[in-house]
Amino acid sequence: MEIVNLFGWEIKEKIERGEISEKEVFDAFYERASSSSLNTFITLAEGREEKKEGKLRGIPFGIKDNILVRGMKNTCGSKILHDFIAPYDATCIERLKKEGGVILGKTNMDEFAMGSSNEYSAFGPVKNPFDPERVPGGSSGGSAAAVANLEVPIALGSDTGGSVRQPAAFCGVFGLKPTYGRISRYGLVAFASSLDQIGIIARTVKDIALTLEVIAGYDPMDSTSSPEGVPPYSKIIEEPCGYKTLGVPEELISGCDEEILNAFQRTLEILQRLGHKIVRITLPHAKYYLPTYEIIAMAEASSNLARYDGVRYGLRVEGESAEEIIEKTRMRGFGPEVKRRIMVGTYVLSKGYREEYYGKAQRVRTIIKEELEEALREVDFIITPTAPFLPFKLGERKEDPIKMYLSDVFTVFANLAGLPAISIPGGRINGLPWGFQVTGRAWDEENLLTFAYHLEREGGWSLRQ
Amino acid sequence: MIEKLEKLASLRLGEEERKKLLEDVKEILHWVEILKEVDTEGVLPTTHPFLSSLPLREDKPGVSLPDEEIFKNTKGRSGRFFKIRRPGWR
Repeated sequence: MEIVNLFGWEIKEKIERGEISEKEVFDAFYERASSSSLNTFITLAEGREEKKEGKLRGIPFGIKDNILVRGMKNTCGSKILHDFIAPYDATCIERLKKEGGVILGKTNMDEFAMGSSNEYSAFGPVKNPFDPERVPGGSSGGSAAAVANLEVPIALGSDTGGSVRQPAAFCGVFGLKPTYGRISRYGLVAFASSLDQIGIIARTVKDIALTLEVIAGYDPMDSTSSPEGVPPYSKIIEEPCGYKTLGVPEELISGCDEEILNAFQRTLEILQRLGHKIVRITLPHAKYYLPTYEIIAMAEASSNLARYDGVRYGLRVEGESAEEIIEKTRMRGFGPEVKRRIMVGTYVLSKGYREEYYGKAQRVRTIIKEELEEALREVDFIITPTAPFLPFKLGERKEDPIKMYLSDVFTVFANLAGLPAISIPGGRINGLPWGFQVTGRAWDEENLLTFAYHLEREGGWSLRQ
Repeated sequence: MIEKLEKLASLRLGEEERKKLLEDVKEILHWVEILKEVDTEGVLPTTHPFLSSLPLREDKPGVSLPDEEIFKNTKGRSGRFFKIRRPGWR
């Protein structure tokens, strides 16, 4: 088997047994990534760090370009940060490196993680490995496409409303968004702070489990990171899974494309054959999930992105006064989708409208959160397709923001309620990948990953090539 | 409306851009109007998925990045200060 076909955990074991060297591994993936025609990476590492022992020894990682890696460019897919060099490592990167993980490069993304197709990157769109005329999803499109195209075995992304899970589904790989607070956000460039969470993309659940156990856990640099204990996920997932009850929210998935819905039904049948129980659940506020999410995400984004003023770092466009410099820098530095979201976010936070929009959305968020927690008392997991349609063609949705936002219709609820969710590759429809999403209870990645791992092995969803 | 937002967001727009963006902003605001149907009387807002207040940490000085690291990314520097033109207070 070629090196690039190996899973992350296999690479580590082979290195430990002396069957392959760290250099051979790095070179094989570097060669593959640097000759890729998919535009997956914005920056590739200049060299390999010294070899280190550890749980991730020698495994190359792709890192979304909004997670800081000391000494490497961190553009966030934006012109405004085109030359920004990260002065420190994000906590998750520090932990990866400490366990022997190797950074191969920084992956392409929608500007400031705002988008579902990667077309909003200032560095050009990423292409889908299954059809280069189609999008890889977003915003972690570079991470998902790189993993699917064997340019890297594991990649990190960020997920504010589905940005890890939706591209994972579009590229036919696994993508986990852990519980909010599970992984420190220190060193992740903020988009919407009450929704953002770092996620993991890989071709096997075992690699996700292994990575999670290394990077999760409390970090004094992020006061919202949780002191909950981090179990040894990569061992736990090997244990028996038992039979689970999965809830299908019919109101939510009713608007889905027919081909996805048919494939989803077949998936439910397979799950039943494996002994799991499928029940219908009611989520009465399902139609409000997406608008609630958009208001909160845009409001928080408009506030977080106020820091890009050309003064301390990033692009600076000169002018006659401080105000002119700031306004011009932001005008030239931000792309259309970022401007759109800043404007809506500014509006919903402005005097006279704050309570009507932002306050209202925060209250509806409470109702949504309670509704989901209630549902998860009755069932072990909520199951839906990850996205309502197949990977679409480049340009198809780019000019219509609401059509683009609909990509996240099944993913945003996990962020609103802070729940962990994983996208599992469901196979192909007309040659294109699709995925289904399993959402679990807060802090219960243990059961979620165990379930996903058993499906990968027993349900015919393995990506072993 | 859009000029006021431009000022609030410190983000100037070009003529063409302004027209398209105004349409989009209106469309998005119209699309989220649906939330008005939800009865939220007596419901408290959620600002964070799990915490009701932000935990504080001990008030102890830590190690900060050295100045040289901090200033590496700036376009204007004067000693230990960032340098920019004076405000015009338009």
